[in-house]
Amino acid sequence: MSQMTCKSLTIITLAGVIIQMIGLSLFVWGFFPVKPALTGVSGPESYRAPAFDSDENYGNISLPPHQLRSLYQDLSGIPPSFDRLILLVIDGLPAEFVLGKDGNPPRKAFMEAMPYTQSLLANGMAIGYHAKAAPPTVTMPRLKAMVSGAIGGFLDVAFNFNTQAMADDNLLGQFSSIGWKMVMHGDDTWLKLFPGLFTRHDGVSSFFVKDTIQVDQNVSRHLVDELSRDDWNLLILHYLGLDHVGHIGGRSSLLMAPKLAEMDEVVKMIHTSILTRENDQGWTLLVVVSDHGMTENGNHGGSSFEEADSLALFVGLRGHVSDYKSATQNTAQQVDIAPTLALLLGVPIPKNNVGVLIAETFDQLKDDHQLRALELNSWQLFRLLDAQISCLSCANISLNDFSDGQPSVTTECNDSLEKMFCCLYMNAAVLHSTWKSKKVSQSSSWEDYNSTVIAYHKFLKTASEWLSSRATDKPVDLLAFGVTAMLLSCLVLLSLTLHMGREINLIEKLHHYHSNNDMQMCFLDEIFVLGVILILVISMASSSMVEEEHYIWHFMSSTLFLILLRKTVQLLPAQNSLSKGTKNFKFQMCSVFVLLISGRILRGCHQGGVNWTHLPDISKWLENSGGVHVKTVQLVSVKYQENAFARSSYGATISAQMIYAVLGSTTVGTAVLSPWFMPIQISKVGSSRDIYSSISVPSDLLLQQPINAMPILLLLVQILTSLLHFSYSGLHHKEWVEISTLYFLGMAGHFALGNSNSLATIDVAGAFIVRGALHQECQFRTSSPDNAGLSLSGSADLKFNSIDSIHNCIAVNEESFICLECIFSEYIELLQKNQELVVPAAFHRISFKNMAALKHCFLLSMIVAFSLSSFQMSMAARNLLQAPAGPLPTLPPMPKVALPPMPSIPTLPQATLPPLPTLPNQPTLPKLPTLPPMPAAPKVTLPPLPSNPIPTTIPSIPNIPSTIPTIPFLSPPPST
Amino acid sequence: MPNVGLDNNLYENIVETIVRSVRNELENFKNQIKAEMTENMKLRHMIAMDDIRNPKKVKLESIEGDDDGINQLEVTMCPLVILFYSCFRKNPEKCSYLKAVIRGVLALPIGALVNALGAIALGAPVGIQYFPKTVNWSLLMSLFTFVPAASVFGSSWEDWRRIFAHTKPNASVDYMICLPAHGAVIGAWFGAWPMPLDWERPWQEWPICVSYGAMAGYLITMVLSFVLVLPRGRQQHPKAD
Repeated sequence: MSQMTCKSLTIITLAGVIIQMIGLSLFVWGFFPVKPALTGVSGPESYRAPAFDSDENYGNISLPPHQLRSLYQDLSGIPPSFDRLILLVIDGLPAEFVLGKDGNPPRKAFMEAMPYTQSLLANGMAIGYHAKAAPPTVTMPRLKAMVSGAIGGFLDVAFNFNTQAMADDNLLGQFSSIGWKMVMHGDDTWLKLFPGLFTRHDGVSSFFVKDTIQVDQNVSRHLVDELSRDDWNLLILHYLGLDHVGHIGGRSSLLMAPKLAEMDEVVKMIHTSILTRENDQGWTLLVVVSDHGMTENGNHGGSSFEEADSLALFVGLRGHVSDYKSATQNTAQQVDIAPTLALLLGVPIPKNNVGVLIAETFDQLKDDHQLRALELNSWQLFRLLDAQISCLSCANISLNDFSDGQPSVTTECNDSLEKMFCCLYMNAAVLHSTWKSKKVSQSSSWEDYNSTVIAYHKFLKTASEWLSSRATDKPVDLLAFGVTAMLLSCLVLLSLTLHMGREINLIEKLHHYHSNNDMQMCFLDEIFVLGVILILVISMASSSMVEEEHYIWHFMSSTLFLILLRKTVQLLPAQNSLSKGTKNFKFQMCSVFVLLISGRILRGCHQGGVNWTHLPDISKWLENSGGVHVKTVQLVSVKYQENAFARSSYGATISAQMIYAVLGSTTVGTAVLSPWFMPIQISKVGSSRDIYSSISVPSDLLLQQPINAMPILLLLVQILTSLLHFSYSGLHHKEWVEISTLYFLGMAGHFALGNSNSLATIDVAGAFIVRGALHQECQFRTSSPDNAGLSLSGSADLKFNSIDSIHNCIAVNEESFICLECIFSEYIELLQKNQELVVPAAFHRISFKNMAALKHCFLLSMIVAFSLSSFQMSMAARNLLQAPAGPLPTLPPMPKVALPPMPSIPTLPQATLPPLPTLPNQPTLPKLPTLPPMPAAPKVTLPPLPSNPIPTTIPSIPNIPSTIPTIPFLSPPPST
Repeated sequence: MPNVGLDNNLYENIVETIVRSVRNELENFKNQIKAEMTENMKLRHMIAMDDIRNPKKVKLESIEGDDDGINQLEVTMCPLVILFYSCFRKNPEKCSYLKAVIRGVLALPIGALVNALGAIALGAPVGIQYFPKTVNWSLLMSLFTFVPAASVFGSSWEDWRRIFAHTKPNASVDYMICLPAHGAVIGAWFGAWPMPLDWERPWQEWPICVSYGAMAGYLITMVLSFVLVLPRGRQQHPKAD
């Protein structure tokens, strides 16, 4: 066997890794396709029929705004209905709250909370739509969709973590080209998307998820002033409060109804001001939209109905009467808002729009204007189709073919794709032209008009659907190439491993030759670990297994522990010869039991997944039983962890910096000293590395919601125990078994913290805490506040060191943005909870800075090595809040002191009672008499019912906390 | 005389008893399935008549029905297993038949406890409403795993370790204890797989499919152990003479 030289080994390994990375990036590139978008801006040419020779350069875009506006008016032939637009964006408002669902009105509490809006709807003054938003349902991509009418790729989530100015053709750009003055108050995402476009603005950050009041007051305070002014044409108001309420307490939060009432007040104020302004100065259109909905828990991001159910409410359309009943059923696409607004306000439809105008909003227009609007939309979509389908050759089907003969709606268009679009389009165009010619001769009939409208809608609908589905098409060759590259690299690395394994095996055999018996018996765990890989691969094929992945992980880890238990028994010395051996054995047994028990409790913490979330679990129980329990559990967990790791350095009184100072030094110290601390046979390299992970867990605790304090503690216990177990059991375990055990632990722990594979379970409220704490770490490590990027990865190195913490990190680091101030409030809160010390924040800040200055760069090489991985992590995380990636938000340093501690926020009383699974017997009984055809039948069928023992176990009804905790809001100062 | 002394008559007796017990078991199994099916039919009828909206009710009822099935199985199997395995007690000269039976009876709750703990560690639901189900299931598992070993080996730690930790059966009776016990455990482990899925079948509830898995594994390995034991018995037969 030829020995491999170090050099060739390194080269092959590097090559394998690089091929892997290339394959992965290719795969990702193919899996999240970037939709080809048309460049340029719609100009006057959009008012001319698409010419098939594609010679559409008019070059008169450089007209001054006023001329352009009148040019548009002349060309379009539609008198502009409105000269002002108020776009009221209510972040995260599900349309269900306003319009109801499936023909049912919304919940009574919500109806009562929004009396004005409901009266508008009932009187036909407003028309509302369930506007279906495309995933990802996070704010920034949705805003883009609304103003441009285009559906971005899913990777918008990742590409735009640093929200950049929107380059594509959009409504706001069109407005600005015709000289509109725009004002924006609210979410500063708008400012990042459209920098410099607004004459006045007041951006609020979507950052402070726990703030539900200030964030909206900062918008509303401008309202009176702006409504009285007359120097703007577009007013955008973006209210974030409702989304924050959702993130804190979910749909049925106690704060929801007051927040809706507040929004209703805003609508009322705007609408009354519109009414008073009307008649003399022109018309104003109020459009109330939401960017996305929310799940029952208040999260969003996925594509479920609840999340995608956004609102589009048009208020102030003249002469519109609709009955309320139909309003609950109105559906549209979110992208439809863009063409509708463009046509109503007299600007060209943005180039990449795939939406279809909402027909009802044009009812006020005359017939020919309505048809003209449809025609303009069709032209725009046809241009887009033309760009997407390279050979959309309608030239050979000339208009003459149709105009000669009798056009008919019934023309079947079932040809190939291109021909179908052509045919549909031509059909509509011909019908339109005949209608026009008939109208000149006063012979136009209602049927002609109707058939034209139908033909247009048919084309628009087909084209729109095809274009939106096109946005999610995946290039197969790219995917295949990526997968092949990854497989290739796997093969390379695998063969390398096998090659090395062959050499190592020789050494191991020398070690084990004396105990041949043991060798045979030790294989079960190894076989199992290998089998788990297979099982996982198979289970990934079933979507419901993916949904319930947490069960698999827990099942696997527990099974592995049981196997370890068995193995421990196997390895027990035959005779109880030595007391040391027995003690060792006892310890190992105990450690496995600890692992099993804590694993089971962890599994009970959160009922994740999709199907069984309604079942009771520990976190629900804690939440229902009120704050006291949560605090006690958290207190105990925190104390334990402090004692476990920093016993000597800080006793009862500690300041915030000390925690991390000690934490850091312990990390280094333990890493260095671990071989002596623990009875580890030095042959194990893996163990000392894993110590890092255990140390970082206490810091993770600070980043988690209070409800997760206990799971984190249990995770820590598990990791430590498994490490000890392995170190005590000596050489009997293969290293990769140990590593995979930790990996299983990490995966099970990841799910135990309440995470799942759904984008919606990412807890944004927790991210708020993380950001602060992470920054603390970074600061401590690098002491260079201006070097944010590096310091970020500095904190990540600690986490990425451990198998477990990778998942922990993903669980925790939804948002790794940096904020200096948050950390102080966090620590003060923590300290107050501990009832130990309340240190003035000023002291914290000052001494912290000194401390940070004293420390110098910590393991710069590690930072570089892990920057890539941490970058990925933070990239995915950051965009979820669309938080700025730039420098620290400059906030006044002190205000946090005066605030009440935050501890009781997560313990908001949950109005949702747990499902009562064992009680459904009674309610079904009254239904029997309602079956007229079979009066005798109930007698036959009844016996089973009484035979059912009345459930002896009535679920304990959770104590609803009698005292409603005061709800302190973390209200940051108004950001300037 | 090593292991179990098998003379001609006893050996035939064994086979006969085993065949009988297997037949019994199969019948029980069949009965149980029948019972379940009738239960299901009833339920379906009720659903049709009653428009039950809440699926949980359906599940609860069907579980209760299944519990009865397991109960029956246990009640019939328990004396059979204990009496049968007590015949093959180790050291028959030192240990009377009655003592072996008592050992088996005592092992039933202890084994049930161990099995229940194992199941809970693996994720079985905890709660008062699940308690009787867990007890039923763990008694069944105890019958499959612990009781035979206790009847035969008593409290001999070395034997227990040899069978359960090392899986090294030597004698025929070892095979008959070791293989079915392992089969039942592995079958139960695989039986748990469909539980989290969203098929919304009544048998997905704890512990129905796990019981089925355990029984299937038990039966298969029982047959397997016979296949392994029979040639051994023939080999030993001339030796015994």
